Amino acid sequence: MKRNIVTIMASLLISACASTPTGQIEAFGVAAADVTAKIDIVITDYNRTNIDNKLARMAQRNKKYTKSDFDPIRKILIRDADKKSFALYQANNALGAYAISLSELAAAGSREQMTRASIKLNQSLKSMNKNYKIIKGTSDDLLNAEKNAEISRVVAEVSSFYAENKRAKALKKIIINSDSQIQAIGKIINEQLLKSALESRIYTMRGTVLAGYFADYNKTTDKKSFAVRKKSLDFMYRQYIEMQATGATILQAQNAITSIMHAHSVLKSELEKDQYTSKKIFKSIGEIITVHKSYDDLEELMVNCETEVITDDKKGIICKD
Amino acid sequence: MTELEELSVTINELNNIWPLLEGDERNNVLDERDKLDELASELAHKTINQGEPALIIAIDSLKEAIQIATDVKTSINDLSARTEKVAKMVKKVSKAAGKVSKLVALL
Repeated sequence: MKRNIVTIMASLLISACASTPTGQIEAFGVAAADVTAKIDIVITDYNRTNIDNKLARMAQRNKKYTKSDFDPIRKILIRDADKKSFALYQANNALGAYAISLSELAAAGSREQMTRASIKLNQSLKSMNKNYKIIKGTSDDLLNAEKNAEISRVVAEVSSFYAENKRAKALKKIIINSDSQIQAIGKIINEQLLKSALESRIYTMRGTVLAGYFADYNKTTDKKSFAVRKKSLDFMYRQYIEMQATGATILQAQNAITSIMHAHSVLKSELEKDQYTSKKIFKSIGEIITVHKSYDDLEELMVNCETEVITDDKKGIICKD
Repeated sequence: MTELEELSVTINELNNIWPLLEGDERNNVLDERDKLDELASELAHKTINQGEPALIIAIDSLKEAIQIATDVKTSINDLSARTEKVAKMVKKVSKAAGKVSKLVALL
């Protein structure tokens, strides 16, 4: 019995990656989720630097201000509520939604799901057989245990192969056709939105703040001691380093986008190699035989289980104690 | 180099000049810097907000792919749902038959 359970669990695990590149799809999903986090960091940085820039420009003028002078600052920030309409976020969201839809499709109609359904059918048929015997007042079975398990097995097997075939074909078509869009979106986000717009802007705004400190330093330098001048320069140097490091957070976001583009092109090339040649068909037949054997074990489990066949999250498909 | 990058270069150069100046000269450079900074701010906002047509087209195509993936997923999941439905029906009918047989036995 234990051997059966182990075999069924192993075959269910193997089946998850037998016909579709589920591992790469998962990697693609993780990479897409990472992009959202990285872009959020860049936007937070952009908002904070925008405020600093406006305040620095005000402080660099010898003018008097009131509360209303702060109003324009609020207008330049990217708020969470506005994010949906931004092209940068739309592009990012589309990548994320695409990754989720691929992951969900890859997991749809898994052999485990089909097996669970067939177990339910098996239990119902058992119950029907029991009631039949009561109604007829006979000890003869309408469906004996072997016949019952065989019906359930065939239902699970046919459904499973149909689902795997349909899923593999759909994933292949979608991934190959969408690759040019993924590469285009990634390139535009990286080159135009992140590099050209956000990076250059954040760098310049930090430079504007730093220029104010230089102006202060230059104005009073001849009246300060070495220690005071050194302290000021230390502070300004830290600001300068921060300005130079502007590219770091942008680079992280760009790397995340590049990972997505790469993960997708790996998926595409892997699927393109699958030409459905005779060799592939032969391999598929081999897989069908392997899977058929695993369902033999399921059938045996159904026949031999004297209590009830159940699915346990940790143990897989087992016979209830 | 994009228009925004060109503006940024000019603003950076002006930021390197004005801290060395004083009086009207400084104010004139600051006026020019602020004017360019406003333009750059608007342009940056517009770029990340609107994007370019190629981006919008690519996003729309990707949305179509998402819809196809979702439709196929639903149709595949319907398979196991249908088997479960059959199981439920069998259970329901056999239960009902069991009840009827009990009633018949009482009569």
